[in-house]
Amino acid sequence: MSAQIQNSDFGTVDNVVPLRAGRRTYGTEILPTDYLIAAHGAELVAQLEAVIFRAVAQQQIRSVVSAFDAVYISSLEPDLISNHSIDKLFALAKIEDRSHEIEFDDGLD
Amino acid sequence: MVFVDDGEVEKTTLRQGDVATDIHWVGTVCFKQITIPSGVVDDEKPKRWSVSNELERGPVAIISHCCELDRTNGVKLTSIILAPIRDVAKATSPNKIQELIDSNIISRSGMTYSYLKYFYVPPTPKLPFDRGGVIDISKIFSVRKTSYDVVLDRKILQMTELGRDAFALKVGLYFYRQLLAA
Repeated sequence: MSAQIQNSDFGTVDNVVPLRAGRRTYGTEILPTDYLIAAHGAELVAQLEAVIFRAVAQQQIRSVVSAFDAVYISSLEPDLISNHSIDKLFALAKIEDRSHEIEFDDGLD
Repeated sequence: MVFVDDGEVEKTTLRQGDVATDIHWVGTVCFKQITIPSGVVDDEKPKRWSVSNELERGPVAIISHCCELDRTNGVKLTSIILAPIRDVAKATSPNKIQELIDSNIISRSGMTYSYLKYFYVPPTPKLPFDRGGVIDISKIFSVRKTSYDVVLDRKILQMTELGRDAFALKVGLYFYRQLLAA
């Protein structure tokens, strides 16, 4: 299977292809549901990484490893890789950090 | 559930998310309180030095990757990355703690905020925190690889796969968010 994803806001992602199951990469065994997303340019790849890292927390994606101009993802739901899902994942990237609202009175800071 | 049952804790290896107890919080040393003996010239490496304040010690969580820590992988380990765990009861805004706990799983439906600096760990008899603790990602420090066995001897807890994933994600996003803002 291969597919092409277009996203006008963030550029174009070329080729979403399944990886060959059975090999190991970065210590992780590749499953039949693992995909490679290939994209142009560091900026777009960085955006994809940020989004996909959040998908890991939703347990929609098993893991992600990125290197240079490609993002390797391991998906439990192949349908996740679609225009709609990518847009949704980008939306999840907008998280407000409230860490500054908590301090500790233990003398460590 | 953040931690595995006692019987499932691996005693022969360290993993990301492990908790070890009674570890020096080296990162809390104040540089201004380090003293070098008099008589040492500028270009001479001092043989010893001292710190005038008490060195804090307590529980730590391991940040290093499992694959680096697993000796059977043959990956060259250069250091062990740690972060202190603080008593959540010492928080100056206790009304925020529940929000912090809820944000451990960052991408939960409807979540628009998080406390990226902290990862909450629930109360357990293994930790001296009645209301739980927080792994403070902003206080990460590292120790030499030769400290491996010391840390292993003091390992008391091991995270579940789900707990480790949530923890690693928060660690990553704590450092990654500046790129997101751009």
